[in-house]
Amino acid sequence: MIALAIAFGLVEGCPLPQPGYERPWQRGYVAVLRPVQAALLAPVAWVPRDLRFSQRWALFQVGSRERFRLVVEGRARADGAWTVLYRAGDPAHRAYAELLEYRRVHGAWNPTDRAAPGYTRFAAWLTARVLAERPELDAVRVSHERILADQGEVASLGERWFQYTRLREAP
Amino acid sequence: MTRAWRAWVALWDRREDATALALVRIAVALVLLCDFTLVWRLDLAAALWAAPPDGYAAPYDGWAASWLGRGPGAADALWLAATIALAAIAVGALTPVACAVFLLVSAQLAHTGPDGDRGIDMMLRLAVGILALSRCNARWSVDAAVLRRLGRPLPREVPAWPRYLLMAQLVWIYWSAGMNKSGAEWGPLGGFAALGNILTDPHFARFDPGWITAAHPLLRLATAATMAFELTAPIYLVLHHFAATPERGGRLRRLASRLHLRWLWLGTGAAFHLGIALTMTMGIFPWGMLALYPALLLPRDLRRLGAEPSANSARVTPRPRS
Repeated sequence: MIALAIAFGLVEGCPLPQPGYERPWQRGYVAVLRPVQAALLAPVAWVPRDLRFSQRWALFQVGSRERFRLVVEGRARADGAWTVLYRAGDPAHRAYAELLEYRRVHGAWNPTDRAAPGYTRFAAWLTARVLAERPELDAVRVSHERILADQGEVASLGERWFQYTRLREAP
Repeated sequence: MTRAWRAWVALWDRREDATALALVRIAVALVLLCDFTLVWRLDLAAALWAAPPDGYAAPYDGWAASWLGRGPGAADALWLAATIALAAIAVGALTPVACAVFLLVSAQLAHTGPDGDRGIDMMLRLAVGILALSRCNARWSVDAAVLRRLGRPLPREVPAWPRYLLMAQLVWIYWSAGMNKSGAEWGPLGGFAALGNILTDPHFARFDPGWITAAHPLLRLATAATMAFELTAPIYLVLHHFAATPERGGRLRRLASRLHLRWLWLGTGAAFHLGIALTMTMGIFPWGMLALYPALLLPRDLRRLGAEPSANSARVTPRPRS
């Protein structure tokens, strides 16, 4: 039983690139191995699916310089000006920092080269909460500022990705 | 082939003192309890695990949704069930049941809040699953105290295979993480710049990254050391085997012992995680990984550290055949 568990774990954890992330030189062997892997795991496919297990582990798969920085902004009713409420790593803008930086919440908005799967639901919830708590605002937006993080220096690339804006509904 | 199979069966049939498993049980439960307490303090249960608009949970219809619905009350109920199960695991009360409850509830929480279920959560869920099948409650537990009172004490020596599985799991995690590091910055082609870049990331850096420029050479070395540590992880199984069987002699075994290679690897891992805890905001990740480290230790290591009661109970023995 233990030998079987280890064998299934090794098959499931085989370091194949994620679908859509194969490099050209990998496509040939991945196209062969992936269906074989699926067939071998078929009898126990319910275990990783239902109990949320996997033997594929990744911690900082890439350590590139191009990264993102979360920004939450609110637009004042009075003058229509946008104000930064929270910006990651910015001590002058720390609204909702404890909530946003808690690891489970972090997982909902921390992007790689694409937004987290639940990012839109998260942004909808956060913007609704901010509007409910700050009646002086008539709009809230969440976005990711593209930055270059290079050995101690952070520089903005001037781009905003994954932007989500919520307007306060008229009464 | 038969001899190899017999050796394999004998390996997994060994028994040893329950101290290592008890330490893992308590440490894992305490790490997770701290995390679930933080969920309560930040009032995040509904946000993480209730359907919109109360939260941002994924549209998953599991048994929990069928029984409890998908509102804030269901989220609170699942949080409470997980927390009670963890408290029971920590004190060793109805341990196998508590482990099973946590495993099932945690899986439901993972389905409804998949983005909040990080790698460390999956790892600790796996660990709890292994502990559910072990005798981790044979020491330092309510179960052991109650059974002793009832005149049915739990045996001092327990099956060693759960500790071996936890050890193998930890080794695999490191090796898999190393193999999946695909960015050039983790290697010479990227100048071993990965850690410097990550520690500059405003989402992960605990301190202002100004110090990184001065520490750049050291961080390059640390990046290389991280890769070496992860990719050589399977060697720890060999070192553990050497240390467990000193009587067999051999040049490699003696060299590994003289150079203290096993402790070097363990110390590097511990330093790696303590460094993460000090310099990065990674939540329970470093502590969760360290919670499994007792599984890497031999019974005699724990005896030297004062955690084991006596030399006799620390003996690794095969299970007596009836």
